[in-house]
Amino acid sequence: MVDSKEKAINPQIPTLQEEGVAQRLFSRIKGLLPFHLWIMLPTIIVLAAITIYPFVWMVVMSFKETAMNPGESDVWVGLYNYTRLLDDEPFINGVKLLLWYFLLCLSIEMLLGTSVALLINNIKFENFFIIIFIMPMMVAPIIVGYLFRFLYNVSFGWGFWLLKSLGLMSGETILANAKPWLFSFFPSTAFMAVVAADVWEWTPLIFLIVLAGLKAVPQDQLEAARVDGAGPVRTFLEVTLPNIKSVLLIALVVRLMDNVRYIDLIYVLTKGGPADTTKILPFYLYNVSFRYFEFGRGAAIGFILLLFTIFMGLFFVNVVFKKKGV
Amino acid sequence: MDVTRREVLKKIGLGGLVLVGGHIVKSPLSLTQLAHASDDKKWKQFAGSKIVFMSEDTPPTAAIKSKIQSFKDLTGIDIEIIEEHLDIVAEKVGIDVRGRRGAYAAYYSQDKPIGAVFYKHAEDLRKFEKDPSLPKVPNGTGSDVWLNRFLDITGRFYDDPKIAAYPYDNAVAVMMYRKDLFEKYSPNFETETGKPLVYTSKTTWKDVLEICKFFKNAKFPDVKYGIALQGREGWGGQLDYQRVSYANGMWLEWDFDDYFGAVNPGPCKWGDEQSIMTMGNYKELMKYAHPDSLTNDWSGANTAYVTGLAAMQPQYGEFAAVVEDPKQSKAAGGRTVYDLCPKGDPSWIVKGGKAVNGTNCGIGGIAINHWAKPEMQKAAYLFALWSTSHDTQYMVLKDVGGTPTRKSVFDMPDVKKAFVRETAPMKKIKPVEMEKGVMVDKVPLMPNALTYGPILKGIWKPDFVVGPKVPKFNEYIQIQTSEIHKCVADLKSPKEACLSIKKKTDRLFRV
Repeated sequence: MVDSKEKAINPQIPTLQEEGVAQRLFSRIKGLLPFHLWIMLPTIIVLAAITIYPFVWMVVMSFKETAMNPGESDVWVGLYNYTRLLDDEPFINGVKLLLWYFLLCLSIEMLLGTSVALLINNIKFENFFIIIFIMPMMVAPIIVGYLFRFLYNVSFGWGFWLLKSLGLMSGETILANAKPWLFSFFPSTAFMAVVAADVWEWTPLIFLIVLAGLKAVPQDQLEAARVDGAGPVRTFLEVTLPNIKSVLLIALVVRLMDNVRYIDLIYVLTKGGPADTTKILPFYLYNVSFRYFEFGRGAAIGFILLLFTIFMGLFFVNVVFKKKGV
Repeated sequence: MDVTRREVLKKIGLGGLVLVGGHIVKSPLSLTQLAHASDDKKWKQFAGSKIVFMSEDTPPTAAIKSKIQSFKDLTGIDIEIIEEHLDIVAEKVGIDVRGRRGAYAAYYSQDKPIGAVFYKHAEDLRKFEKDPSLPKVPNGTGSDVWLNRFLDITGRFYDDPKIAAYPYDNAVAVMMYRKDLFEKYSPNFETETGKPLVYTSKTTWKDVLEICKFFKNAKFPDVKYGIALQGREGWGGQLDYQRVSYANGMWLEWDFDDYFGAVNPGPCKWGDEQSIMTMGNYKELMKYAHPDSLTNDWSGANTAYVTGLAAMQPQYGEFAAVVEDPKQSKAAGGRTVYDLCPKGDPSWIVKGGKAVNGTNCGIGGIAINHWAKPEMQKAAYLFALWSTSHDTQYMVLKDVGGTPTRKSVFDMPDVKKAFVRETAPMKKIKPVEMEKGVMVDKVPLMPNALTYGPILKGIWKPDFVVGPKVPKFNEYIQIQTSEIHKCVADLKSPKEACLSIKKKTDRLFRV
């Protein structure tokens, strides 16, 4: 606290009255937000700069036809980039295939990952099996793509040989096979081959998340169930499953978001072919943006894909899980 | 190559008469040394700077990379050569030039997927040619020093007089086939068809189909398929299809001059009678080809060929280096013959079009990035000059397997000898057992040169097809190849596929 004499000596030091004003002003600003938000504010500003700015720019760009060459300028085309998608065959095909991709990858991975986690949980040599099972996840997706490309190779791939020997495929090729696999309503054999590679690589992630969830299931509840004479299936359905629902949701949403931006395997294995049967929407987006350099159209597809992801995420969080009390 | 001043002075004295005598082509090595020495300061003016060359992972770049010390010694410029698959190169170069960064001072500019799309982002090389502060190379860089109009192919686009790139990589398609298998199974073929199993420059695509059917149905123990094709979606597939479509009636999508291309190509010819017929025939070829032909690109097809699964492959000359390597190839040891691509067949042509040996290419150039700093551009120009010079092309061809683009390299006596297997200079290798009792201890010194005979025949009109150079080339070939795939996979009829290409392509070019 300073008085007016001190103020006369050093004018930079605030007077008591001035300090009162500053203090009031500070408390008023402080009161605008809760304390924890003030602490997070710098980070929020940085994140906003690096996410919101590109997002806004993407939305703006989706209304333009971007210039390709020096000296040219972008042309405002309104909603054209969106309306043209309505009869854009690769786009519609991409949406359908993406839904198939979600359905097949998520269901198989969830089922397998959860099953393996249940089998491994608390057994002898658990740590050894964990290391073995999570290995595929540690390999870069591009490498997985090349690995499966060799496995599926007609000339020397034992994956091809195995499937052929087991009678699980018709035709003389896997990756060049645009015909439906097993049933006529299924996607192409090449598509199923990509799904198989995805399942091989990412089931371990589900396994790991579910295993972590299983470790958190209260032992007293499991013991109580056992004492009450519940069998393994009933224990799983009545005790384990309700306890791991939240981690299952996390696993599901993480994989959902992964699938939306996933092009690595397809890039290496099929490049979207044969006959566009593996050209899921993210791959088409990649083509439009970075092979055709149609940034405006790419931005429109990207924006739709973003809305789609948000919708699917909300659907799982609010409809599938929340209603059942997760 | 290191040259001391004393050696240079000696050569100037002794070689002066040789120069006057007009033996320019006969002694290019010493001439280049002289040129380098007299331009020493010009070559060295950017010593200490660093440039990046973004290139396809193509044999000439691997060869150039292995000899890059010569460039560093000559200029003092530190150059980083990044090698990527062509798609990645197009993507990275596209991002770089569209972002106006100029990180790659020099980049590999394939005529259609990169050149036709981004040529406006390439610096006009005539500017550097006129710059007195920059050196020259023997014979210069005029259009007459390159193989048939290669400068137009890599450097000229649409109606722009600018030269956007120098020809650097010569990838021209030829037919490679297994002579040993043809001879071995000729009696069987003759019994079946009444004619011998031979491949000549008169062999048509229809004959090829017959050979494919023969091999596939026969189920021989040492070869399963007649041909390995390259139908992968994208450029590989477009070129693969074009070899058949052009051979039969010289069919092209548009009628513009394919050396220069067109910004607005107008309505395309897809959907006409010839295109539908060729689509059906290509589908038939695919049916009897190696089963991965629809997803194989050039490398995949070559793998099928060198592993002994296919008896023939239309392939780019540069792959001869792998084909002739007994450690990698069952087709080595003199078993492969190189010839022109198949001819069109009169019965596959409607309305009396001409049958030709449809030969296509991907001529890669070196372009200088418009967005790089002026000094970096000049340093990159030195690299472009050096890497496309006679001496460098000859050196990499001889030592590591390049793909020259300068006429003078093809005129060298030892290169000419290397065109023919019987006279080709050989080099000793550690003996390799290709199969029980069959040892190979010598390989051609310049394996790629074995393909030059058919290449030098195939690169002239009417056999040669260059285009289509269009600004939206990458999207166009995607449309084309995905519809071809649908037809081959029985998802669409040839007519439906052709009409669909027509509709989508015309929409793409706003017709």
